[in-house]
Amino acid sequence: MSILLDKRSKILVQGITGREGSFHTEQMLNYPSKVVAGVTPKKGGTLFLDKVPIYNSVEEAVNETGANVSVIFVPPFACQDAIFEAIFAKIKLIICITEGVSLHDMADVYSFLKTKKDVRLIGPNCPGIIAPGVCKAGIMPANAFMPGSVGIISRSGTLTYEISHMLTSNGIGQSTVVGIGGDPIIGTTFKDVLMLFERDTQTEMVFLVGEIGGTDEEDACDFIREMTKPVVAFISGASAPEGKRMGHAGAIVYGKMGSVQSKMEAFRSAGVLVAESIDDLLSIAKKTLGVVKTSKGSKQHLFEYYISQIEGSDFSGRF
Amino acid sequence: MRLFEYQAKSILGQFVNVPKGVLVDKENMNQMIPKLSLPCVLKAQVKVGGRGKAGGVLKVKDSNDLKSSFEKLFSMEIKGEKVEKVLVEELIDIERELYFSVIFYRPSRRFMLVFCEDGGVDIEQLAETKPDAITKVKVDPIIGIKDFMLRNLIKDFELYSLLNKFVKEAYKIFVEKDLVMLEINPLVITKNKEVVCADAKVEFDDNAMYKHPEFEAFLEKSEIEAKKLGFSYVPLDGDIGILGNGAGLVLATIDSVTRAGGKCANFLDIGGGAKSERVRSALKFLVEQKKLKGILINVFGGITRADEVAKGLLEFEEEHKLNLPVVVRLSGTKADEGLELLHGKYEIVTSLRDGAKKIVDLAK
Repeated sequence: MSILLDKRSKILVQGITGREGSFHTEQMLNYPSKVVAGVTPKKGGTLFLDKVPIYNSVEEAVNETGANVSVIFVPPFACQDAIFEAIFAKIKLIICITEGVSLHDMADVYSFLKTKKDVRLIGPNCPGIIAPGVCKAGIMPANAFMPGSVGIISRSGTLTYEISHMLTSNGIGQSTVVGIGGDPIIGTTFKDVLMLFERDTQTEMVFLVGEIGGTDEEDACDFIREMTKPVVAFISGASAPEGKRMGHAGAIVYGKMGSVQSKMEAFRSAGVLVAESIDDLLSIAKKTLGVVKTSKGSKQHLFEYYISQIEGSDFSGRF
Repeated sequence: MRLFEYQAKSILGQFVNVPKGVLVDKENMNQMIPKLSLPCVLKAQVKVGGRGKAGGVLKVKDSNDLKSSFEKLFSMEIKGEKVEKVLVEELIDIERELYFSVIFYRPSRRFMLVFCEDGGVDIEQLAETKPDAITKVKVDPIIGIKDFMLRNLIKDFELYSLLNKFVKEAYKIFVEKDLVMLEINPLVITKNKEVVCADAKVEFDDNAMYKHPEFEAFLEKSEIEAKKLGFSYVPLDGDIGILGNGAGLVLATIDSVTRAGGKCANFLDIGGGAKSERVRSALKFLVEQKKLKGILINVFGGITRADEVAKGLLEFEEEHKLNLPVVVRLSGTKADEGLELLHGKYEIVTSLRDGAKKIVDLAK
């Protein structure tokens, strides 16, 4: 089974008539995903591509079509409104693709979501979710993915395509790929998705693609220690110059949190293999999956085997 | 966007006390000098921290010292930032210097009030040696500030009463003006028990620009240019130009080139959904910034269509002869169409590792 999406996922697109919304709705329909409705205020009663009904409100669309997943493409200024509209229309999985939503708009959304435990928001500023062969709710190019057993969680859209494409062209498929988004405030973090992958029977190993900034990578480590499935991480930004510091306030509040160093140390201490370059992820996947299939042993055993295989290579001592 | 102190104070001054001040630059310096009342303090306007320790703040008592003090500041470079403007302020009657800030605290996605009874230039040191001296209170944006939070933040009751109104007002500014950080260090209590913001560091959320047209005046030329063109650009030290889409992929591309032994000249993310025109202007912008030895283009099409990127490159080359090695990697949405357009004209690679090696070789 995939996570978050399945055959019963009925997609609603908020902002279906906009440039990005219409282009990607067509791509989703071609995947094929079940896009059952679109919402654009004032355009209710018309059809998108002669087949998808458009409604004036999310509530109306949900009542008429039973949509249970919303994908949001509205412009940044209308995004907070669109997310709240989806929450109040009882959509349980909201995927926000929009880039450039303001921090304070999202701070309010995040605070409200804390009181709604059964609603999951993915993004904003994310590529969405794809369960290869099952459903695509997002903007990723479909040809980069194929069904398989690697779960991927990523903060970066294009890096996700890059890595999946590399795996797919080498015959390694993915269970579900979740782009959680690169903004300072996102609805779902690494830890949330890792918990789902750990329970998922299709997923045998997890790739985690992080980035400098924030502490979500570090915060996921306590859970990773308890996981039985191997987790491999890549963090981009190792050679990026130090960002502009946020006055004294940044130093006082954050200290050394959020640097690539801090993330790598946290990962290694939690038993995560950290790849130095995305090109290395392919050989890591091949070897790890081989071991998963032949040994069915504990995670510790897996990594011991793994280290013995890569001694002297680029990654020795990288645990 | 980080604001200069004088810009920050022009906003804060509408709501809380800031010292009276006037802005002086090299051009109007000679006209302004006779009009200044003494004693005063001259403050170099830079966006980096550590100005006080670098000697960027000068007290002037004697009118004979004014010109030389200005000249000293205008010839100064603080952590690589040239001083173009000086804020001249009245001296304030300081009784106590405190530290106060509101900041977005990313790990819990909340806002955080930070306070310390000892403000001034050594606050970071204090945070390490006496962390208990600094108090922090998280604020849920939906609930806002309540008095008990302020009592937890400011333990001294006299200070609490004195600062209650100010902190609430500062938080209101933080929210209404869409700030990411508002730092007042020092926050001064005068001998008359007035609360005055002696310095101000403000970071504004660029995504909220549409709500605050008043902040547009604070954008710098290069920022306006980049914003108008729709991409984000950060200059780096090297000579290999990088153009890609998505911050993560551009960062990973820079990491790869660095690993292959090259040095990148920049970070340039053309953003999501770039059309050929944006790619063309990004390339133009890229070669105008500094002399390059080569360019690596790495685009994976999602919301961006790869054929648009190829068209942008060809359109650019039609107008300007590049005379530079260019290595291109395109994949994803419309990649085949894009590569067909570029076939035979540019070095085309399929993996990022190959691309990084190739551009480093060609740029030698």
